[in-house]
Amino acid sequence: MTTLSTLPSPRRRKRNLVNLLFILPAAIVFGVVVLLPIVENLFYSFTNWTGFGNSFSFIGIQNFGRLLQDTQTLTAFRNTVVFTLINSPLQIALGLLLALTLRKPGRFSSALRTVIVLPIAVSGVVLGFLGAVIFDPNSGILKAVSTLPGLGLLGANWLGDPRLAMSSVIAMNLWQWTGFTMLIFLAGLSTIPPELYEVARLDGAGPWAQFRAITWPLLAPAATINIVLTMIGGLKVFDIMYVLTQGGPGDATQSIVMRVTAEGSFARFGYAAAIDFVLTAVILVVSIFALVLLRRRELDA
Amino acid sequence: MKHRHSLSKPLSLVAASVGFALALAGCAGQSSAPASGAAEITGNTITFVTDQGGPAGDKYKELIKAFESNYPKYKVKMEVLPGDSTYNSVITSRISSGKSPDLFELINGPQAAKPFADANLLTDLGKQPWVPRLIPVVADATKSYDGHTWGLISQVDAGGFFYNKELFKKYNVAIPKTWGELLAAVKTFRDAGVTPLGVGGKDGWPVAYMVTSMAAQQPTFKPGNSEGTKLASGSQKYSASEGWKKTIDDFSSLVQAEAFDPNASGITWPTSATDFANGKTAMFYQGDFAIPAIRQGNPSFTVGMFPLPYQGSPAPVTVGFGSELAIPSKAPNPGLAEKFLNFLTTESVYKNYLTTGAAFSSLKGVSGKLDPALEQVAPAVTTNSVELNSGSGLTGATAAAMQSSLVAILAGSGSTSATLSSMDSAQATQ
Repeated sequence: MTTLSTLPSPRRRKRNLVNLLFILPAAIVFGVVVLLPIVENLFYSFTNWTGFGNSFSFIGIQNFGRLLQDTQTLTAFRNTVVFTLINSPLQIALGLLLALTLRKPGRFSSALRTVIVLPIAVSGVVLGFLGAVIFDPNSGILKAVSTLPGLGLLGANWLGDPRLAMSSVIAMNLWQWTGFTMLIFLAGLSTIPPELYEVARLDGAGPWAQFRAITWPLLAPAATINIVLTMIGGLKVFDIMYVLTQGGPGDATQSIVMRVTAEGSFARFGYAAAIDFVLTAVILVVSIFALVLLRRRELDA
Repeated sequence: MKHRHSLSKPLSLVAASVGFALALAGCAGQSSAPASGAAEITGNTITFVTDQGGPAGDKYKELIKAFESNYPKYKVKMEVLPGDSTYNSVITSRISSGKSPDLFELINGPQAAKPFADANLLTDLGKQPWVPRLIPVVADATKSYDGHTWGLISQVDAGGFFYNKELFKKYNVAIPKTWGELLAAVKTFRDAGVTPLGVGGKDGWPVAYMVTSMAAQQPTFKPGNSEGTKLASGSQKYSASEGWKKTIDDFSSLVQAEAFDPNASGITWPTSATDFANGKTAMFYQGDFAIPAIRQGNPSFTVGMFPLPYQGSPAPVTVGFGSELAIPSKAPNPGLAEKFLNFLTTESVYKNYLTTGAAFSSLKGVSGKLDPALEQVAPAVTTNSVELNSGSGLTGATAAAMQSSLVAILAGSGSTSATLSSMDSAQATQ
């Protein structure tokens, strides 16, 4: 029940208005750049728009029905999930390991941190070129190294063999993005008070016990960010697969975003929009689920 | 330099069939665009948009220079846009927003005209004076979508087997004239330790290009056949098509005969061109647009080209059209754009244009200077040729599905039935 005491005072109302004005520019940008395209995308997913001109018809949920029959799209969804489920844990584990190893200040660790972070700045085109130099089955670096005794296995057709292509893509993705994960963990580690470790040592706790009792629980916010970001990045994967394999061989590394762009290029924008909307919904559900679950863990920690 | 660069080829092959195949299916919308005879010249400048920059655009630069020299009061402003998946969107947006170019390069030519024509974005050029001068295969292709002439195909791309003359001489192999002779040549080279056929499997499109060329020779896929129309419209399944089954079975037999490098699915198109130029492979199925890449790998290379020996007798040359020059329906100065195209088709100007681009002619009785490698197939381009996508019923989506599955066959994990099933699935979502 509203009483006189709960009604906002003119002063409080004025403060709320000022707050709102501060939020407004960001809200407008977010609305125009993020929300509007999502709504527009949903709108076109119910049409047969070709992407040319302004004429289209509403076709209900036909595009979503088609999606369920399209083996290439279903394969792309499977590939994307496989990529995400393998890449995310590996990227987080490696990032954490590197952060723990390089957390102490020093010239060597500082230089190494820079080297590990550097690939983030590499463009997709350069990455594709590097991939060709490393993985070319007849003249790549791995092929050359495979001639050394005991390293014959490295001479495989890394990007051209359907059984190996996905692992090659994941390896390149880890090389590019593990540094970013490491940086977030390093930032998290820097917030842990050193006194906690001193007390733990006085209590006789070894490194593993310290990690379990102090580091891991207090790294929960950093872990949450990393888990959510790597999962979203995995579900949206495009450029690295495109430049390294173009989705091949066959459909072995075709991601869902690659399918969206392919369908768009076939003048089937409506169908592409439907696939994209499903992806957006999946990302939204996964993100909310992960955030809720991980926030609970943070609170427990 | 010849037409498309390598990166635009995948798009080219994939997107190429969309409009054309749907046209065969009778799905085309009727355009209300009037046929343009001689539109009025409303200014002294036109804007021409193309995706061909660098050396590939030299033929246009030379042409514009000649036009401006011949008509000093007129100017042609050439704009080069990236020929990737954004190209059509940019053109469409510009036409729709009142910033239309006067002339633009329609990538993939008549086969890509459908969405533009359906949205009334093009001018019908059917009454232009150069139309009756087009060679038959170009004339047919020009009107293939809906009977309208949506652009000028300014050159023809010819496809066939490039072959290493020295290797053929060394191993005493004659130019194959039948599929059986091709298989025998494959065996000879393989037994000698030379990879018989080079292909850039990692890029996908070179494999699809070869197989689509094979399909174009199937007797059931002759232009205007009913099966191609049914396939494109979805009223017949690809898995029920004897023509497609035989084509993919025969391609698989080449793979099983170890005609390709065992790592072919991981080799890029540029690498495959260099490998061929350096004698690592004896034959290389490609279009004439591959010549610069081959020559770059080894300028002194003695190379020739012979038509794909498959179903046709004598084997026909495969022809395709990388683009056509189109005038948007909302061009500010269509009259001058028409004058520019008429100037291009003037015999002496066109001859220079073909020579600069080392291209095959699309007009009767005119030819430029070609690369020596193409001399063997040059006569057949006008007398015995078959168009790449003329009757096999491919659409953009089914072509892409086929391409992926063919690379899987090359990689040892695919099959004919899986390929046809994948094409059916792609067609079901049309």
